[in-house]
Amino acid sequence: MFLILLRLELFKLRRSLPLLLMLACPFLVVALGTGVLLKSGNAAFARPGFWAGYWQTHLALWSYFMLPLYIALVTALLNGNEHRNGAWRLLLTLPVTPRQLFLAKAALAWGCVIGANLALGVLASGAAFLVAALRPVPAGMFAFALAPALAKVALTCLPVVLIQHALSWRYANFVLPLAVGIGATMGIVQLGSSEYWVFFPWSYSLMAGNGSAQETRQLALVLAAGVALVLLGWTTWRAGKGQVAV
Amino acid sequence: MEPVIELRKVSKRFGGRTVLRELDLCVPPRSVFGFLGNNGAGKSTTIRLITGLLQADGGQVLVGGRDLRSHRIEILREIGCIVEAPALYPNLTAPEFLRIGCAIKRLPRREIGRVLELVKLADAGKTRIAHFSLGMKQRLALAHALLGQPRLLVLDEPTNGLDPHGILDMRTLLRALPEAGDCTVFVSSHQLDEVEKMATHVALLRDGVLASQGRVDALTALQAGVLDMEIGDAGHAAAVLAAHDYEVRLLGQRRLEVYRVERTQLDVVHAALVHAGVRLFQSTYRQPTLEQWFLRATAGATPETPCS
Repeated sequence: MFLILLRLELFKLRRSLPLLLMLACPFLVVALGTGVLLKSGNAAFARPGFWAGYWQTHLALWSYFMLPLYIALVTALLNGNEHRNGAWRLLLTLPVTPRQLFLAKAALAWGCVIGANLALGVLASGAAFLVAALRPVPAGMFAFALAPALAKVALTCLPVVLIQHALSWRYANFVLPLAVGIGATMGIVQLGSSEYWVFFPWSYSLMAGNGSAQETRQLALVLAAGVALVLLGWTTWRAGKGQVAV
Repeated sequence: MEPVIELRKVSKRFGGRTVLRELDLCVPPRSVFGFLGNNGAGKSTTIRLITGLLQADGGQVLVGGRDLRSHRIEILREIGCIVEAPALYPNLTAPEFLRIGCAIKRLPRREIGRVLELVKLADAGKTRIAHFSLGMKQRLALAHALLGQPRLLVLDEPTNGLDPHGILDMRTLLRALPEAGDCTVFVSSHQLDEVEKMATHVALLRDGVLASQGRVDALTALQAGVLDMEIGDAGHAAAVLAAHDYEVRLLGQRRLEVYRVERTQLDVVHAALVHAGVRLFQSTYRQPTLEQWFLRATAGATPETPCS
């Protein structure tokens, strides 16, 4: 049943805003990163570490600002689709359990985040070719391990996906989940660069993708996996116990 | 025969407010069951309890003889419902929307075409639901409820937003369902004339308590009607009937109306007039409508009727 529900949730995305945002949010990051870069003088492009800087700028912009906002937005939209249309009444009177539905929606939200990460990779790569065509750049465009970095970002954002999804599932009004998302994004600026980042799940993606030391990146991965597991159990249990605003 | 829906002493509270108080209800199989009550009487809460959207604080909800708490999935497989307004996804088309119920109930895709035909939406094709009229949305919600030929249809105000043709179609369809197969229809509605034309049984909820329940014809027959008479001397007749404690209104020298006459008393009224030498030309008895019954019952005038 879980797979049927997941397929249906995916099917319901047709002609919807979450699908558009999957491309729009990464596009904004790439447009901003590349746009700022193209304004610099030619000397900035000639540096040997130019490409590493290029990719890390995009990753940082993504993990610092856009990803937490995107997660808040996409989970609010996916659950809002049911709240807004009164569709909980439809879904919960069909032979499915609230927990199956909760899990399918969580999986879809995470799938959207993975899709957005992929889109960021593709769009940033396209922009890299554009930069190379317009400016005198050094060789080694793809020397940076982008794919593993994006995979780590996608993995470590799972706790945030679950927190935002649980909030959006529980509350029909999207203001609370969005406020949490925006507030947490501000929090990354403060906590992300401090020793307390381990207590703040919104920092895990930043640390996993942009952490300076190998140990930090690995710790972010381990923490994210552990916290995600606990959250998955707790939020799924709550979804079956509590009552959705129908 | 075992009731399709049976509520035993069901209670439900929201915060400090008791919405349902030890409600007993039984819906016979293959009936069209009209569920009536004023706003806030507890109709929607009852429907939410029957469809598993809410859990009762006390008592037991049985559907098809099975407890809803322990057999929820099994029961929901056999139910089709519309709870409150139609819940639809505006970004999908009608066939796309019906795929949801089809997939979850594991039904073949041809079922989509069948139900769209039934509700006359087969030509809605590629139009997105966002562009549907309220009536089309209502019919699509009904199509979704009809997927898989459910044994029980629970419909909350199904004729809302329908034009007269749509109402007629809906009535014809719902009346035909119990006759065509093993289907029971449970309808809540404010449109009493519709319920009267459609339902075989009714129940009336008043302040969270069952006020009355039974067959439509039996319930309305319990109520006193109006006797409209054309007679030789209305003044003399009025005096005779007043002496028998009947409430009379003169409408002319040869016409009067007698109120609160039960069908079983008709012979007594006529005999009294004949014995008093009043010439009788025409006598018409008007049976109370469901609406009149409803208005009297919600005003607290109707005694409880046993579940039959």
